[in-house]
Amino acid sequence: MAKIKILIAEDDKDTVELYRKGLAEDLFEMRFALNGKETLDVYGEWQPDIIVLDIVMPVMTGYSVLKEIREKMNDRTTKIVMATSLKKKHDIIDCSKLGIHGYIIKPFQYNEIGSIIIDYLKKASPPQE
Amino acid sequence: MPHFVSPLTSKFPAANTCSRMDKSSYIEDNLAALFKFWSPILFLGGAILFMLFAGLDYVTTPENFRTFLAWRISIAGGLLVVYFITVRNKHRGIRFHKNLIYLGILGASITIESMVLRTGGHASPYYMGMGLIGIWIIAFFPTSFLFSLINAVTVYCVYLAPILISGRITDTRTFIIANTFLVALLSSSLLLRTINFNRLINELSLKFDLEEHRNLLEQLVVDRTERMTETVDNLQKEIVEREHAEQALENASTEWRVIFDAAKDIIMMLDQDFHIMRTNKAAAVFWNSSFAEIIGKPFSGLFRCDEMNYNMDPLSLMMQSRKHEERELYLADHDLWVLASVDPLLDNERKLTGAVVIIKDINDIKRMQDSIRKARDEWEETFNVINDAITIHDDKFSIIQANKAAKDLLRAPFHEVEMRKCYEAYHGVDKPPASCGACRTQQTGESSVTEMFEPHLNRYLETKALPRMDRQGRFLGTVHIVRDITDRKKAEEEQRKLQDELLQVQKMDSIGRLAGAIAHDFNNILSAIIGFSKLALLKVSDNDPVAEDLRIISESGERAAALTRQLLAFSRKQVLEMKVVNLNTVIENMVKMIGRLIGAQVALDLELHTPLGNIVADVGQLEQILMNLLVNARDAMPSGGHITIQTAETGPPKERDKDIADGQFVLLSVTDTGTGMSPEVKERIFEPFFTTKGRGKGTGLGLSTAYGIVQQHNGHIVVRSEPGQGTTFEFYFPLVDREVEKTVEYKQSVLVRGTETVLVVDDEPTILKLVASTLRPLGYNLLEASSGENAMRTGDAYPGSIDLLLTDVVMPGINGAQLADKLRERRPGINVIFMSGYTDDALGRQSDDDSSLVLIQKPLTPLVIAKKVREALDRGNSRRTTMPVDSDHDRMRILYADDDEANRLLVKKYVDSFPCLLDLCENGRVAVDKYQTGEYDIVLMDMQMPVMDGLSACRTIREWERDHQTATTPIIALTGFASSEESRACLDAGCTTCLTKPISREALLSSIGQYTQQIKRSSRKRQDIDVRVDKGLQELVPGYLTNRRTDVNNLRKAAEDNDYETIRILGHTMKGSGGGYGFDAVTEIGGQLEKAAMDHDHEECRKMITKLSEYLDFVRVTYE
Repeated sequence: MAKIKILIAEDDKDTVELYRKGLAEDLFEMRFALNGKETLDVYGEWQPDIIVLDIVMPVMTGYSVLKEIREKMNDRTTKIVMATSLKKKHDIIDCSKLGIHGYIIKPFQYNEIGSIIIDYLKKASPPQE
Repeated sequence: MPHFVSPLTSKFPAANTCSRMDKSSYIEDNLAALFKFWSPILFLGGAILFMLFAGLDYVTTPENFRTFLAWRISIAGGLLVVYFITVRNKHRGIRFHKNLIYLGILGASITIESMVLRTGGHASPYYMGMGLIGIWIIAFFPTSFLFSLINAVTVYCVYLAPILISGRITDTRTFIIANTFLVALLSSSLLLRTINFNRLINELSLKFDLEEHRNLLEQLVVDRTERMTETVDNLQKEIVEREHAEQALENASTEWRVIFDAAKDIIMMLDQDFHIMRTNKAAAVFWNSSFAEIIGKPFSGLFRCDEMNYNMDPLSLMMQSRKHEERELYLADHDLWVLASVDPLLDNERKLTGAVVIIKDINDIKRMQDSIRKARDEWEETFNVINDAITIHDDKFSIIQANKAAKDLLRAPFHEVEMRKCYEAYHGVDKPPASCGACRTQQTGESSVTEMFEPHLNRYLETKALPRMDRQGRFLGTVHIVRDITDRKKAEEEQRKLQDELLQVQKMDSIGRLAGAIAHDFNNILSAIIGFSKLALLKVSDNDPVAEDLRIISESGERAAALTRQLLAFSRKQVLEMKVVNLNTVIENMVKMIGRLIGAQVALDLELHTPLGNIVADVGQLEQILMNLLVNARDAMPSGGHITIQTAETGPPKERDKDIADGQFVLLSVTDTGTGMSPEVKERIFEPFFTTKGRGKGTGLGLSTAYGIVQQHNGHIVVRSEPGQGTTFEFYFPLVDREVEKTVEYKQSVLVRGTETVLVVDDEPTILKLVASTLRPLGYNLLEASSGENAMRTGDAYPGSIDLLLTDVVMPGINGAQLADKLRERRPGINVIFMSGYTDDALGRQSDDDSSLVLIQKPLTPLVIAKKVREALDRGNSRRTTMPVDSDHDRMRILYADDDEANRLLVKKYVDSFPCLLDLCENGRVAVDKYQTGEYDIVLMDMQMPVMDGLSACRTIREWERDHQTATTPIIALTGFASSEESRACLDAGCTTCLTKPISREALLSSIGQYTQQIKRSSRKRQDIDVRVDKGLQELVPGYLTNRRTDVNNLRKAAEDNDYETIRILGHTMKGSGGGYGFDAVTEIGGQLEKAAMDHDHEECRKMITKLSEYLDFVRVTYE
């Protein structure tokens, strides 16, 4: 089985370490982007299976990245999970309108993050024919 | 060349021309020529002869000499003249000459005759002269017989005629002699002439023949000579040509050799045994050998055997096929691809005599082919690897190429897709549909994007169609890029559904608000109407005419109240009075009323299962459900039928939703034999305001109310119905293993009395008055207050005991619940009854079998007031004795906050055997207060509480702990919702763990045990902050803490500079990561920092930075 290509947009290096710790290396192929702009660059050249977008990021927010991917690039299939510590429902709802596959509330437990993401991937996979 | 025999005619000029003449004209011409030759000679000779005979005259007749001489001279002269004329006119015709001869003969004859006559006439000797003329003329002239005869006759006549005319023939003898001689002479001459002439003719004829043959011979000679000359010329020409040809052949040979050698390909001629006979320079260069080395070698010796294996060897192939063969060979030694072609050399009998081999270097071609193949492969791989389906079409709608995704999409291997019409493949139709933009592109050549659902493929497809043009801009067809957007569409569909549901919820919510707002006032008004009319009825006798009026007022009020209740139930704002009940009892109590409701036409069958388990329910609401259903059933059977009400104990419904828990249920089913429902109607029956009844007959609220009620009871509804088959509604209520509480039932018609003190509170004066009017006459001591504040004052001021608080829930200022709390604090053991038209958050809606929470639903009636007051007082008295107070310091201290008394009692029971002190409180605010004043080992916190909910309480407690730098006390959150979101929210708020209601004893005790074991009660004020962190993070944590210390420095600097943005960002980051590393406090501080920074609250920022710094100094991490 091919590894899951996950692109994680996260500006905090410590949180990046938590992702690294929490996502099993034999399951995930990880790439990280420190800001929204970088996220789009990596997205353009790499085609990840799933993107985790921190909503609050410098240069370009996760919301703008999501909007860019969903609307400007018209990609509605790449799975996107929003990460937020704002816990503000309306942020998530705004994102939902653009099409997201789930969200992660920060801070998260590193040993849960893998199963959360896999859950979202499974949920989002189209039914097998 | 002379051709006349006669020497005289040898010069004759006509001779040469005779060949062109025929024989007669040749003879004629020669005769004429002879004639003209002789005539002048005869004239000249005659003249001479005349003169010569003058001598004879002199002798014989000297007397006539002179005369005769004269005559002679004149005639001679005349003849000379004629001679000249003849000579001169030689070219004239023969007749001219003959006439001259006639003239000469005539002249000469006459002259002689004259002499004859002079000399004696008939006896004269001169007659001989006449004879001489005759001989002269006839004998000598080469003329015809006729001409000669005429001349002879003429001469004779000229002699004889004058003699006869004179008539004097004297000497007859002489005369006869003379005539005879003359005639004989003339005749002989004539004969001679004739013979001579004929001989001449013959001679001429022969001469002509001779001439003719000679000419022929001559002609022959000329012709042969010409031919000979021609032959000689030709021979010469041929010799020259052959020389040229030989030269050219030599040149060609040289050229051929040059060309042969100049050819880049190796050319070889092989003999019968395939030895090399001849080859060109290219071969010598290729094998780097001299001709001598190559020639004579066997052909196969030039190659390695693996290069010329049997299958590949064109020579072997040619031997079999006897015709041109070629093969591509790879010559490994030279790293070269060649094309070897072999042509057989065959003799006339088709026997193989050798072969011509040409070996051509095709390396470049091969390389080109390879790169073309590689490019094509690359293109195809790329084409196939693309996720979107791509098909290439020609201008006739036919698919000419499709990538893998397209084949997968169209579920066909390529050969099935290829050449199919695109509309067949994509739409499954046999002509281009008008709605298909891609087909329009096919027709118009303009690119398009179309989104279509293809029922044929059962997919939503987004098709981008682009025209294909060649370099001249001619339309070749199209390319379709097709994206399967089915998932997206489904997601959108789901989102739309969610939106619809949300809208529905909002709709219900606003209806609920409206209903609530109306109901509150409405129920107060109705209380007065119903209550006072009932009171009035008690005061008048049944016979009183006013009694009937009062009854009508009362009943109308009750109908209005029912409607209000319906509205509240529908909007789920009604106050539920949950009790353990038995469904059979409820139904049995209703039978009478049901009979009235459904009428005589409909038969009612009860199939009640006994014994039946109990459920927790609001009896009024159950009745409401049954009423609504029965009314619908009745209306579905206008001409009568059966209604069956069944009860049973059962498992969960077969058509269970995912959120239906396992367990036992009590089933209530209502079946009618009515008209049934279509699936469309069935789908909508629970929608509010959906009705199939006529205008004014139904509100469309009945079933949606039933649905709402069942939901509030954690139950489920299943509907079975077919048009014409009747309808069955099944209600599932969770079965509870509890006994129906025995309540003192008072007969409904009797107002029970009492003597206790009751405090009545309501901001509506009519209600106060109604309650007072009802209870005072029954013996109760009544205190009244118009607001919570007033009630407090009254309560404080009243010295005696107050047994019961009867209060409205919704009031300005202190509300009913708060009032109850406060009064319970001051007067423990006080009983409380709430009066409510509807409930809002001031009173927990989720009241589960709370026996201490007594509710009177507005509108109030005197009967209900009296009954409820009595019941409450009686129960309160029996319970008061069981309030335990324990103050054992060694025991574990537990604080439990829950607004639901049932839960409080339950937990109390659970921990009865546990060595602990349980402190109970009703809401978060109280819990926080208690926590701050007392010392607790663990806190159990319900999440949904009035005044202050569990989440806020938790946060407040954690904040207080940090502010006072005390160790964190475990808080166990108790939630009613089992969602992960909810539990995450609890953890975020600072709860240690989370338990979902209903809570089992085991779960509660083990949780308490687990979290309290590590607590050392004596260390409440210690400096070290113990944090337990997952072992997996051991290597990361030190770095994390170091980073936070760096953050502290940065934060301090930012705070000095009033750089709130930096503080906000750092705070936000900490908030996001702290909990993940196990440092919940960091998350908390981060959140505070973020908020403070956003508020530009400098003081708070500083405080938090210090807090963070201290935390970092004191934190002690243990890994587990």
